Amino acid sequence: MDAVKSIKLQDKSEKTIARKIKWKKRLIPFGFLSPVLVIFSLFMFIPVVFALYMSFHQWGMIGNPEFVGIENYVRLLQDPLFWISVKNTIIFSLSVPFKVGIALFIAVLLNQKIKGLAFFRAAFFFPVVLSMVVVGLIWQWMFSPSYGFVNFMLEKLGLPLQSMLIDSKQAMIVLIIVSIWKGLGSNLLLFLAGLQSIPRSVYEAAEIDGANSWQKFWHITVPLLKPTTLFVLIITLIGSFKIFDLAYVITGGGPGTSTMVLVHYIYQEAFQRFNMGYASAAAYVFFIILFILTLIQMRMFKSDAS
Amino acid sequence: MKKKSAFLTRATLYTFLTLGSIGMLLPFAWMFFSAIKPNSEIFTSPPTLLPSNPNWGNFIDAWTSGDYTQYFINTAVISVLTTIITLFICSLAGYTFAKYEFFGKKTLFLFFLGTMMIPMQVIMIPIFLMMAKLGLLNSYWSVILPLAANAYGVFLMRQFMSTIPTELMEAARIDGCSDFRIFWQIVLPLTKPALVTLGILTFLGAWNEFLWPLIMLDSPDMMTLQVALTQFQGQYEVKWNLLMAASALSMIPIALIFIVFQRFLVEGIATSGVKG
Amino acid sequence: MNKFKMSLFLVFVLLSAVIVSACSNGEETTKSGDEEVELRFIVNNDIPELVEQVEQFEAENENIKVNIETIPLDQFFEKVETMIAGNRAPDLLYTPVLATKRYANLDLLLDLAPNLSEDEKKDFLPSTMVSVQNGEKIYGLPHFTDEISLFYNKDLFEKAGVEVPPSLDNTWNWEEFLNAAEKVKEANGLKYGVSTGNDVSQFLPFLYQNNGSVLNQDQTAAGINTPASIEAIEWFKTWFDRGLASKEAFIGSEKADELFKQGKLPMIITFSGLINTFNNDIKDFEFGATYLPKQEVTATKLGGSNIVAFKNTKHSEAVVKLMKYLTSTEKMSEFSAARGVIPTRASAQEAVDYGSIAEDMKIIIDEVNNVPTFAVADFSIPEYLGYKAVLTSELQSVILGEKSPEEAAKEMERQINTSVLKK
Repeated sequence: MDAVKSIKLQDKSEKTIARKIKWKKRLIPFGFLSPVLVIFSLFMFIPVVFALYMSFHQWGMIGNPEFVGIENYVRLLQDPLFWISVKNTIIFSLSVPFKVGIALFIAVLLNQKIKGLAFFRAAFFFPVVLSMVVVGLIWQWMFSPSYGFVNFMLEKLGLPLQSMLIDSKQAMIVLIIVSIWKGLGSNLLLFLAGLQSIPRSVYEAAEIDGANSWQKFWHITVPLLKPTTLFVLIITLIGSFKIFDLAYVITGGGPGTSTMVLVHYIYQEAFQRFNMGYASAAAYVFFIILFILTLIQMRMFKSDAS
Repeated sequence: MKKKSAFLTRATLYTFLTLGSIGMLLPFAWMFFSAIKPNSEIFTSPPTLLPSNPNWGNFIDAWTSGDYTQYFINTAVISVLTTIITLFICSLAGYTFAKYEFFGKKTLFLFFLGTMMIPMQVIMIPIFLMMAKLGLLNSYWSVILPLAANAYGVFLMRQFMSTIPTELMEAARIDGCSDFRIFWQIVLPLTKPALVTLGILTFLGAWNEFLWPLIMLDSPDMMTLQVALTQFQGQYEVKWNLLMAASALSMIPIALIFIVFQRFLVEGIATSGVKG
Repeated sequence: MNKFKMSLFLVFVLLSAVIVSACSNGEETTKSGDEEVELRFIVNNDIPELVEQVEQFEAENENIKVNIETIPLDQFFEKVETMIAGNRAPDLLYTPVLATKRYANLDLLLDLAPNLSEDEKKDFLPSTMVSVQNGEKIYGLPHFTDEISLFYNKDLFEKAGVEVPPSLDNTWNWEEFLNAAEKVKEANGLKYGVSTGNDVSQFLPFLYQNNGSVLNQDQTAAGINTPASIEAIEWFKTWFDRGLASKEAFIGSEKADELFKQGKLPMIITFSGLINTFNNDIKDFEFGATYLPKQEVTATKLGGSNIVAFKNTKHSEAVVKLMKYLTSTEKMSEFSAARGVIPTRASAQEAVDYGSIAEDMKIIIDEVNNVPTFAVADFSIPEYLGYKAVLTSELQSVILGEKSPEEAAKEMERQINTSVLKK
């Protein structure tokens, strides 16, 4: 009897210890997340909820908000300018796969033992360092018809002169070119980091099997780089959607509304027309579109892997 | 035969990289030469690259047009602290998302991801109000904290941590390592390339950040470089040459950091392709 | 790994050095005099001449310290609106004319009427008071004004044998103006005859000259979709259709003022405040200001800045003192002379000594003092900021031939009524 009891007791205390360990195990993730959670709660989650609240109000930043229900959303969806900016943003974002592809290609090139590696890496990275004011100035100069570099070269080569920044169709192309130039550096760096995580032994094994460079790239680099590629794709997509500064300094949204993007639209409503509530509604519609696109991307990567 | 084709590949590679670099750097050349031109010479037509009479004094004029040493210090403090905090909290969070199972993990992660998709313009005011409530306005923290609340780093670290084999951690756990020690001593060293990358990009982001310092910091002795650069834009005209000179100077630290730290991205260099 | 740790260590050393130096820098103790007053003064754009005068003021009033924060105009509203929303309004604001009404209407500003004598009130020009006055209340003091002016290259005009108009009453009409541009362009073999910069405010004088306006008379709805306004847009388009003006300059990939400075543009429509820059930079030819053309009426668009104070300020006495100091006849005329802008007080307009640009400034002041009231009302309001973007984009479309003036006016009207004026 006693023996059984003691066994039971022991069992019980073991159980509590096990439970304690289990609890501790459950708490550890939250413990690890706590610093991020605290900072995010204060400076992200609460503000984001605040903006959601404001999106149902008429609010000019100063003064009291006035509840208007879903009126902001209704007006937004009826505004042709909003749809123009959605269209432009999507057109601009079509360049994302291209941007990621270029970055991957150059990262692979710059992940070899070559002379002047540091220089080449720095050269491709550097544009990312420039501030927007300077970027805007430089590229307006490049494409300026009278004193710009592009026309100067075209003239020297005997080719017809251009004026891409005053052409509604070509202005977007200029914007995409500049954003590739400007954004290459960070993606390049991310891919370089990703390439480090591929063990060299895998390549060596493939070399013994007689694989050529292309086969190695396609059968080793691409699949093993998947987590990095997914990250770069999603981040580049988000970045493309959020483009504003670059368009603002180079084309200012023009000519006409041909490079007016969504964040520009939101900025205009918020800080030029003082419709902060309406701008918040636009931001939430923006969020929904982008979130869906991101989920689709993640899905595609998953189904690809299986 | 094989040697010849290897030589050809190599020549193509170098040609491509050289041309690419020139293309990437050409605008910098214009920027640099504009910095040593008089303002009236920058937009001459036809364009000239070299100044007729280089004026190195522009760099000094730009630097002394304000208290640039102080701006430099402010920017450095903000950037370094932001980078350290971001690296620590994001790698910890990224590790948790990659290697632990817990209640609400997926939802929480998507929530983090979602915060990247809200345009800054509409959450600027609530964040400002929050800072005012916490009494942090006009302090370095008012810029550092919103910059650190960036899901980018969490996501990045999660992606890299997920490639680390779980067996490594299991083995350490059996040896009696605490969870934090596993993270600190085993996982972190393995993600060095990712840490370096996140570090460079965070530093760069903080260094070039414009909006938060502009809004959060009031007193002139708290000003950062990016905000100071706008002072060359007058009401009617811009001092282009000084703007270029100051921009060039403000880029030097990031350039150095990149050149120093990119060396940590060579360990896994593939011996494939061109042999050195 | 070792290398890595070394670099990390270096970073930490650097960091600690930086923090130490930063802390030692931050610990400036303020003297605790009994009437020590510190004012926060937010200024749009970098205006060294203003800073100088504020420093003089500080020297004369040792107990008042003024902390100036300069915000570029592009980010002005992001900063100021956020501050006010967070109850951190400064004591004083140096604000573009158009924004004053926004803060006045929100009842945030200090009423200065009790602090001004009748003579002082009368001395400020009516056209500049429009933006600060609300019945009996005066919400700020106009500090300077500028306008959209016409500058021309004297050498190119001489070569073409074209005379500029002698007086405001005898100025060109629209047709004569474009013909002059064409003649000078042809005679000198140039690419362009006249250009504006890329700021849409440089189109507005012509809208007003045709009795058009952006808003209707009581400013409750758009007034741009009217025959007079559409006609002005149509005529503006002919500048480009006749090959006289640079599309690139208006759309923004080329800087009209640079072309003018290089002697490649006979006439430029731009901010009058550029006169100092032109005077300093132009060495190879003579330039001058002349009268804008006139159609139905003479008109231009004014700009400039007001000084306003927030009524929550704890130091209203010091604030008023500084405002009156900066807008005193003496200081105002000094400032205007140094900056090439126009004083807002009749007495200062008389006192100001512009030196070598005096003759051109006389023309500019003449124009400023003859702007019709309906025009002043149209641009002295915060809505100006809201409709500027749609005016810009629609005009660009018209000039590129992608939209007809009627379609453009319709879209302007739509956005103004649904988004800009929505209260």
